[in-house]
Amino acid sequence: MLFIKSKKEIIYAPLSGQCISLDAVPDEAFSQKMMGEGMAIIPTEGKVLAPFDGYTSIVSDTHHALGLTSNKGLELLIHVGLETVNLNGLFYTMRTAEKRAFKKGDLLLEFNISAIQNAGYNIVTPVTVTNYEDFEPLIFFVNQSENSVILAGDDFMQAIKKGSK
Amino acid sequence: MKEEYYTITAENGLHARPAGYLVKKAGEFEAIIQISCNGKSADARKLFALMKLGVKQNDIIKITADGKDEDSALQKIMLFIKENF
Repeated sequence: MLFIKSKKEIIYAPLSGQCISLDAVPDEAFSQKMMGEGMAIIPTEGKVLAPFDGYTSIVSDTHHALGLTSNKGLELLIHVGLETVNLNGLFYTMRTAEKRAFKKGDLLLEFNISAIQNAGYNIVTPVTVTNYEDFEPLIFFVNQSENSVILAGDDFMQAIKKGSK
Repeated sequence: MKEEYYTITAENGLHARPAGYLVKKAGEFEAIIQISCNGKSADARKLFALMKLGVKQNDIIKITADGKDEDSALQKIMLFIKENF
């Protein structure tokens, strides 16, 4: 029997919190999908866990954003808070480094939600597939319109590489 | 192929958000826009590739346009870069 390796990819929730549509993120770079397709989470716990097996492609100097590449080639941007580049790393503790391999569930980044909010920033965290054009439209495991609550590690999104059905 | 150079003035360099704007702009042209910095190159339509360049304030970037509309594409992309970065 011919065995075809699955091109299906599950993205597990990298944070615990409330899911909202990217359309509802008050930053046009995300709501107009310039940063890719996906969903945002309003975190209730200041931890980013690895959403799949892969490696870190981008660790921003200011520690507010992570670019993760899965072993199957999916690229995921996790941007913790809006405009938080201006915090210059304050209230963020990076638990990984660039070009480092990780397993699903590994702790990658910690941040202080209330401190970031008290500094005047929106903590909403867009999670976007930046190379979404290489995939069929994403399937979401949560209902964005009902602002579902999700726990880190839960099924979050599914992506299937184009041309692999 | 046409090329231009530009020195980044934006305080935070080419971080996630501005890179997203550049991706959108670069997608408007038929010509392939490439950004080079510190010995690395990126297709301006690929967000991860752009962010991986790690472009900082005062870095000099090279912008190239290659394709049918390369003249007007480079002109428009330069205008956009000067306004935003």
